[in-house]
Amino acid sequence: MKQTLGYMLKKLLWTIPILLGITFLAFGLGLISRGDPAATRASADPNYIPTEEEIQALREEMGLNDPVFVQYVRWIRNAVHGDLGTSYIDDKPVLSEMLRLLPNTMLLSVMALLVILLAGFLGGMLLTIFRDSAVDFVGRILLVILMSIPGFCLAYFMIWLFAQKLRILPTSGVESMASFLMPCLAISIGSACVVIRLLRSSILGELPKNYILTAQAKGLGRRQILFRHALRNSLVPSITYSANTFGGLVGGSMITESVFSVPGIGSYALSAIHNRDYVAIQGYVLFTGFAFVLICLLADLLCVWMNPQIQLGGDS
Amino acid sequence: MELDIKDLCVRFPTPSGDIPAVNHVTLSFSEREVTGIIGETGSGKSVLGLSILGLLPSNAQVQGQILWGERELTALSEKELCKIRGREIALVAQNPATSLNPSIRVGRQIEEVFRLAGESRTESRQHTLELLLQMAFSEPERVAKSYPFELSGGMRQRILTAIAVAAHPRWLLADEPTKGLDAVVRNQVYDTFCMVRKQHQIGFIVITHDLLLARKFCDRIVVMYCGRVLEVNSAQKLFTHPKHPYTQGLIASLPHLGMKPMEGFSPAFTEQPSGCVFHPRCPYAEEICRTREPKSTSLGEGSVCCHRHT
Amino acid sequence: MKGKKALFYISLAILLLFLVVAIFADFLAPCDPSAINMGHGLEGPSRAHWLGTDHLGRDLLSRLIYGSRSSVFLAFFATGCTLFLGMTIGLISGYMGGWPDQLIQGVVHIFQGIPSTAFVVAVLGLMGPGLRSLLIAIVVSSWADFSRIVRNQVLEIRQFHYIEGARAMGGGSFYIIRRHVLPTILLPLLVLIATRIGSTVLTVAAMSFLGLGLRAPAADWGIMINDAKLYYVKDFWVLLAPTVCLTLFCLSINLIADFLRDRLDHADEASRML
Repeated sequence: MKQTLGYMLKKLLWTIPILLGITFLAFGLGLISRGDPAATRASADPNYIPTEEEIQALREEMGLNDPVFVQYVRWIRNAVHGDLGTSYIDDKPVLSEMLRLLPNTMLLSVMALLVILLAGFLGGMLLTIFRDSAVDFVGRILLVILMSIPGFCLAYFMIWLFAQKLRILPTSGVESMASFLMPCLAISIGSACVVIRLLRSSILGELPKNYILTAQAKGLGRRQILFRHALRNSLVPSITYSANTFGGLVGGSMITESVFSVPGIGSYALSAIHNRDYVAIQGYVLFTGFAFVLICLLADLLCVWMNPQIQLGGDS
Repeated sequence: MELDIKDLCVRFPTPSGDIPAVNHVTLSFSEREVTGIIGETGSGKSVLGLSILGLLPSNAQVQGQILWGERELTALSEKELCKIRGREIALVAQNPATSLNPSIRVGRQIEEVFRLAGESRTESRQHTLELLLQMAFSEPERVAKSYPFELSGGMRQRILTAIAVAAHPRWLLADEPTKGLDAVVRNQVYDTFCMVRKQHQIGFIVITHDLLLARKFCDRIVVMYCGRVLEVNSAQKLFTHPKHPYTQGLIASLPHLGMKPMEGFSPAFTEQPSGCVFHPRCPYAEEICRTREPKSTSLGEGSVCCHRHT
Repeated sequence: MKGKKALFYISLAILLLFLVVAIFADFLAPCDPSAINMGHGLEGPSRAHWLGTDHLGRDLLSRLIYGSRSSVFLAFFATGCTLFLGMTIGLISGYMGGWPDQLIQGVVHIFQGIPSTAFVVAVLGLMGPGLRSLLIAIVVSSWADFSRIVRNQVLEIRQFHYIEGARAMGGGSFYIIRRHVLPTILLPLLVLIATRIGSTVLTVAAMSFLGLGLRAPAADWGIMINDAKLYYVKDFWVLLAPTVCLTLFCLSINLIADFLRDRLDHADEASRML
């Protein structure tokens, strides 16, 4: 128990430098690319050309003459208080704008996670139960082909099939749950295939182990051995992968959101890049980085809880 | 109930030819007797043991008969075998470090056997704790809550034994119980087995290359080489008057008897010698040994498979 | 095993075919990929245009062939750069050991923890959309994996006792390298390289599709898909052609990676038995 806690603590401590790294990345981005904000603000009125002294005074007022470190701390403090700055383009606060768009992205990624987990589990078990049979063989071929189709190609194919030919699903927008169905499938199918393959290969890797022999010698049936003994020890790679995918999705999927015109975090970032809206990009990098790291941390802790022996294998 | 093995052959087909792991083995084990099967690594003794429980890999080809009372074990379905495994013939697998599920508390792993026998959750928990106490664990509650990696090698071995005896089987099959363990733990294994034998009155088949354990613990010893039985005798006779040159060699290689290593290596399974399989290493080999395979001849209580004893 | 090997060679052949097409695009392409012919937009396959034309009347086949150039070259080039950077850092880290190793591993850990989208968006935001920023983003976000693998292998070589064992048993040095060193060193790296090439092709195509990589008139699979999105409902061809190319490329890469991973597992088993 003590070891487990120690391991968890170590994991927690490791996230701190990673989170710091993300803040450096975001802050450094803003620092290098913003030009001179004081000059920009001073010349906001096109009819007035500011003097050098005025700009200088504004700089002092905005704290731009302070050492970089002081500026960094100030920025962090503002970020902690929920102030990620306001966009250059439309003058809206970045954080509230992202929070407004978050529900769409969240809904999409949670749905995708459910699809990945469900399909991954069912498919993985199915292939394991029918291992080395025709079902397994055909299934694996299908998986590797499906996995190789890029998500955005799949998205257009689905639009063509479901929206244009069959006319059962809307092509874009967020008006109903049905309109989330296609984007969700477009981002989850590839990952689901990967999870199925991962689960299958890790279960098959567990089956020749000695403890399975012990379980068989107890008189347990095939199904009990698979579900009660082998599955438990095979879940870690699949869970880690699913969590990685989910962490990435919460940060917004630029492609899928743009193909299906879903107003979410990803499309926000995309337009920010196109508009060179540094404050928004900064906020996005911070948000997506934190979301990813924290979700991966949760998954790690989940894995330790499920498989307490992990800690003996050293750090990841 | 007696366990009779009749002309058992086990083959594993591989791309480079069949591997005959067990060759025409005929043995019988009488009730409550302790039989040791000894031999070098690769003599087919583990395969023989696992074939009794039907636990061989799916590509194994089994011929011959294994009679358990009236039943023919090789002909039973998987479902029927599940009822025999654990409840009538139990297994203590080799290597206690890997033979317990690493992510399930050991208490749960023992309970599983009771649950399989149809007991309720509380009953099985109660029985697990009693069993742990019986197996000389001083703090059964704490042990039951531990994960395998939190226990020492000797403790894991006892847990494995506890799992095996939980359903009161008539036979216990121990596959290399002392392999890879240090001397202290080896002695603990011996003590545990003696205790189990006394408490449960069951028969043992101990598959081992640990000759000392075999001599201390077994009533009767079977010597295997290249998937064949070379000699069978009571433990006492076998160690004092070994008949087969291979047995003599094995015993002479024991540390306190001079530690004389045997010449040569056991042959690869794919290229077995003609005639008597042992002839390339046998100091008494003659022409007949190279050409004709010897038949097993009974001598007193035991039997030996050598041209010098026909 | 035989089937797997055949599949591996077929995939390798497909990959090489893509490479050859990319290198000799100038000779293979029947038309100029950017020659606009407004009168013949969205025509089906004909003798002049084997795969038909896109909405501006440009020859699809030629665009596909030139498109393989940007996609395939970029993928190999970006992976090569990543490999070089990661390997250098990994070698330094592994050979120096001690605190430099600890420090570098800490940095590697941090880089591995930050999601690649954050890097891509940050670098694109900083330098503006374009090929160069895309390349930098890919290299910066993925060197850490390579350096970790290389470093672990360096540490492993240092304690290759079993090589001594093999030498003692009379194995020649070529035999030892082929049997023991290559599987442990090269295979994990090859698996990573293969997966990385696949994911880079996808990233490049996706970013070009979003208008963040190569820019519009250029012939690139991602741009072709982007061009096709307004017309594919009636002329499915224009979408299908680049999709099939991308999928085929990824499929062959995936199959190669699978095969190598299989071999890796076997090598692992073998070294565990030693």
